Amino acid sequence: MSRRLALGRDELTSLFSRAMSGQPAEPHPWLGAATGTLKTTTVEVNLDEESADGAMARLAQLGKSLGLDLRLTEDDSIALLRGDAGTLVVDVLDARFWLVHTIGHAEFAHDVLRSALRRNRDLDWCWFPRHLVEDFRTAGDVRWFKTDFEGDELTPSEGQRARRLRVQLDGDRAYDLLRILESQVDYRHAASLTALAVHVTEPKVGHVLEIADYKGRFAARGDSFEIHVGLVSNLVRRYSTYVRELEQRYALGWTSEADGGASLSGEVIVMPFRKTVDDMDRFLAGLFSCREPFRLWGVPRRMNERYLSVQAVDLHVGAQLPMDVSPDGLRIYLHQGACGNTVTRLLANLQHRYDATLDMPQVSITN
Amino acid sequence: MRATLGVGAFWIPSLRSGAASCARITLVVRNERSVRVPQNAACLDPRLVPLNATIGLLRGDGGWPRPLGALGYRLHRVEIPVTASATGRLVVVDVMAVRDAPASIVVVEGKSGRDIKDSQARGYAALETNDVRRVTRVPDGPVRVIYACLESGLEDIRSRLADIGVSVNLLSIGEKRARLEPVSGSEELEFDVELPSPPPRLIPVDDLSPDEEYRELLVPGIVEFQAKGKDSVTVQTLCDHSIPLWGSFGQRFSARVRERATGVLVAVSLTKEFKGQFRVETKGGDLADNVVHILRTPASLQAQGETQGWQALQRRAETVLRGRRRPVPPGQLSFEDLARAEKVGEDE
Repeated sequence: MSRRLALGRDELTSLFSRAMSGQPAEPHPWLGAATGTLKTTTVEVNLDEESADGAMARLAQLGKSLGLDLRLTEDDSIALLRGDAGTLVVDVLDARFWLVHTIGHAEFAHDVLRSALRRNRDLDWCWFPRHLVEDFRTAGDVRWFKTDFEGDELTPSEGQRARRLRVQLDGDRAYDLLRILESQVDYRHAASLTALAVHVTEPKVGHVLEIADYKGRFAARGDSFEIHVGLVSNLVRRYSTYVRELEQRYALGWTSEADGGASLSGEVIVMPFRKTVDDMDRFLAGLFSCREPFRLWGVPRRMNERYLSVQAVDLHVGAQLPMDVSPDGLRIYLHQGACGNTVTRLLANLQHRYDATLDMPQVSITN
Repeated sequence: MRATLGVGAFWIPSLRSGAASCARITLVVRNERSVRVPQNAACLDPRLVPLNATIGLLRGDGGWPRPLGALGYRLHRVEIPVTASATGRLVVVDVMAVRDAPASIVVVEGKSGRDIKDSQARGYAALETNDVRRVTRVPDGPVRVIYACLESGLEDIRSRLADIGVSVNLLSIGEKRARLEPVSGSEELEFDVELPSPPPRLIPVDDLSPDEEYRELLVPGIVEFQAKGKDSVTVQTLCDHSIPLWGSFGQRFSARVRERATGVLVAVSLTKEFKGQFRVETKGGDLADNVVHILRTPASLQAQGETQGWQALQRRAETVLRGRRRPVPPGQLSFEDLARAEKVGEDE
């Protein structure tokens, strides 16, 4: 491995801040050409051992398999992955939730990450539940939002007031339109929150126009990397807490006790539907189609006229996710050692494909 | 009533196969009158419905009411052996719950049939606080015994308990309701609650569950390791991932579960649907070395082919598990896709 680059967090903050404002005009020797927008993608990485060293070792493997050149920096938790088409700056300060920045073209970062996630079962997007994206609007003035709801696969072709809904609004108080949609009983289930843009100004610091989407992707323009990374970190931290709470509080596990009995820890996760399932066959066929984005394999077994049990397999991570399905909701049995991201992926995608108002009321999102 | 002698413990919920439970299970009278299992629990091994339901009523899992939990009881142990010092009789308590204030211990025996074992019932009735406290740390309170029965078996069990002069609390589990009939002195336990759903599947199988219940867990277990892209997996690891409680009830229980799992896996591997997908290699008499070799996995295919591969595997599993394939709803017309394809409503 080549020696470390003379690059630390201070330099990167300065470089990113300038790149976000469209400077410099000349390509940077290590980061490449700037497009004027800083893109940050959050990625969840399941390491055997959650440490900066473990993260760096995994990053090195990934770089090799992707044909990218790994360059370490002065900072133990930051490294560069360089290819012909661009450079990714990978921040593994949180060894499980990585921040991947690029000042280059979004296609490069997206293609590399999509390829990496597809090939590696220990990597996943961060799937922000609606509440998390929604709370992002409090960071500044909402300038734009996007709704992209696709209910075709899970709902019948007839009798639906909204099977697909695509709306985006760019303008002052843009969020008011989403509120109007949400207030309509017939359409609120389709009023998903796919992405949001806010303008954030911090006196004496700078300003940022920040876009965030439900797959943990961000794009920022402005003049302050500090503001950008603060927004990203806040969301990722809350997401991390949410995922860890899922795993720590809800993962079910039996433990053999010294007295000869066994004790049970964890809880069954309940995901109640406000919109009841009218066509269960279609819902099941869509949910367990093995296709993106759910990537769930399963053979439903009827329990009674309303309930079905499914010993589902999450094909993305290669883990079982047993659940019971009824027209009124899901009961999910997260096993000990399973990844909470599997549940957030299910929730976020159901919010975009079945009911935007869906939630897991048991599980709180902390500030 | 016709009854026959049968070998095994067909009606007796047991999660253990250790010495303790061997003492209580050798030859049992098998009642041939069918017991009606609540329809809402048809996906569970019927023998395990009372256990799962009791745990549900304690913890409120999966949206269930928790009348026992509301009284302050919490699940303490499952399958814990306790000897009633007064009789010298060992009973393996299916579910034990405790409450700190006022201190109280609840011991539950699950009954999925119509019969009881007289000596076992007497053993339960004779349990004292110190009998329990000798084996596990529990609050110093009275012991209350509950027989958790399916609604359809309740009257026979009530009658038999009365015949032998044993008085215990009776929990009846039906399709729509659960009702606890307390004995004198345990009136606070009384409840009658509506059940919104089947019991949460916290204990899906035990060592006595039928093969079909094992198949339901093990076929997805194989798929999990196919998805992981593994070449092989030991039966032990497969059990770890597919039968969550298998390692928690002692070595003999684990060994029996592993043996059952191996038999089921071998049988599935020989079906025409799964032949060529995986095979089971058994090594001598050492069950710990049984290995499942994954022969094929859609995970090795390119994106489009991979999805189709998983779907094909799903159809195979449907045939093995359900005996038929689920009809696939017809595809739907997307106006957005149609408009895009036909260049209608699109800018140049």
